[in-house]
Amino acid sequence: MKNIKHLSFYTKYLLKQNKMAILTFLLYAGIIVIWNTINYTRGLFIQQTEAETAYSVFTAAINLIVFTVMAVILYTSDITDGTIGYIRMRPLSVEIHILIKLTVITFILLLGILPIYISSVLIGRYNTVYFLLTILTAINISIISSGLSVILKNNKAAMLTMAAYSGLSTGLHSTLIGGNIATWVKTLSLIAPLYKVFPWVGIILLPLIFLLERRRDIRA
Amino acid sequence: MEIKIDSVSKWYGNKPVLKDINLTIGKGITGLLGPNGAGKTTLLSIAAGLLKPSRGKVLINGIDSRKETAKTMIGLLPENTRIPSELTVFEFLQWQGILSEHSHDIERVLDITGMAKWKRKKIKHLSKGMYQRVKFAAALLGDPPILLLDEPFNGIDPAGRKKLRDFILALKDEKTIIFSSHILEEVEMVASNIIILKSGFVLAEGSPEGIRHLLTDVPYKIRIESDSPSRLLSILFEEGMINMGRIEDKNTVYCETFSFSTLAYEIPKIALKHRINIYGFVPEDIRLEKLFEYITQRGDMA
Repeated sequence: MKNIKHLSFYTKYLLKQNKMAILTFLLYAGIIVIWNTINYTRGLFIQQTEAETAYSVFTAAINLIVFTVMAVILYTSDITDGTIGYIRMRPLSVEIHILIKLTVITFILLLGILPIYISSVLIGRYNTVYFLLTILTAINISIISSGLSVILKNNKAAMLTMAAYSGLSTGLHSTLIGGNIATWVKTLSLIAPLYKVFPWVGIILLPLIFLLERRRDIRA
Repeated sequence: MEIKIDSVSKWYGNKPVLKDINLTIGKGITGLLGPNGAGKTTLLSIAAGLLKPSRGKVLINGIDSRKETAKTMIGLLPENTRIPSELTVFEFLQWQGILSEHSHDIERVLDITGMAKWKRKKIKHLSKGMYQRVKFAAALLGDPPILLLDEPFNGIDPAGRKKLRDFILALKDEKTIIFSSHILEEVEMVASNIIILKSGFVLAEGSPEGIRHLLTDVPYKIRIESDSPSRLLSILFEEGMINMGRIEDKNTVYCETFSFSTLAYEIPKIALKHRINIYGFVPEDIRLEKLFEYITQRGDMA
């Protein structure tokens, strides 16, 4: 019960404290949705992207970068504004708090990702696997971005690393998609597209986040 | 309720911040006094279980302060930790109440700290004094037997300080309270036990009076108002009772002595014997600031 109430308050905290960042993020999602819808009504985009899946549209590098930056901002919110001290001094397990944090971040990311995905369906192809992958990708972005924030202990470095990773992997994917080299390049988790390596990166990073967050020293 | 600090040392990288601290603190108000960088905040963070000591441990009634059960016994007013500015006072306390499972206690702490009127106000719109009172209210949630207050008077105006000081003093008989400060006047006014910290070392510990006794080579100073000050001064010199003396004005003698008994008993006796009337006998209080300066200098020499 306590954890559920904490989840509700943590959501309120993140939404209120980061309202400008979240509004900007939703505005970005809104623009993409409008753009997709306009293309759909014109019937142009379907013809041009016949071979593409809706999923690959929203996993374009720019989207991943935006989602990543958002995840890092949300994950580091209580650390940068010092609220983490007030959470840690209370009898609450660090692991529970991290899971709550990741759940809320995933939920907020989905607020942007899902409309983009649904609007992408209009101009592409839809199936249940892609829908599930969308949700899993949001979770993975939360974990990977948060993990990098904890490991690097520096928001800017985490954002840049993640952005470079997203850009590089998606770029390589697109460039090499037609050739044989792509087959093995994609299997290399570090440079393969994010959605292809799920859940391994997240699974490996999650215990590391727990470990490093447990060891985080907080001065009163 | 007892806090036992057992051989605690802390390094940040290669820099030692606390060096083998051993203290046992019981009920009442203990003032943690020291200049900036002395290690006060680090010590309180370790006691509150927010920092892991590099060596040693802190026990709260026998329980390691890092354990969740120990945290239920501690109320902390942190110095650096901020409160989410977009939440209202009530929302913040409600959140803290949920985490500590003391949601029922919010109205009580709002009343104690006088913040009930402002409970719907956003934290970002509060004055510094009110902000500190909200932090104090959060520390009081659940009526914990131990209160750790890190620089509670920082940045508060005199009226606000008095209010906060009164809150703390009202709790002295029922709780174990440690508060850190570099405002010496506040420590003097509030604490019954003082710990002086410098560069990670405990330089002195005891009552304000007890610490004063450490000053063996700092003389007691006294101003005596008398009808014949020059006669009194010459007698005191002749009897070898004072080390230094001078006439300050037509009725006042200022003198210094290293002997407490001279100060307290001998001078009045001599005056009586020589039929010199004394109207005023005002020992100059050795203020804690001087004590602090003296002891920390001794620490530097050590």
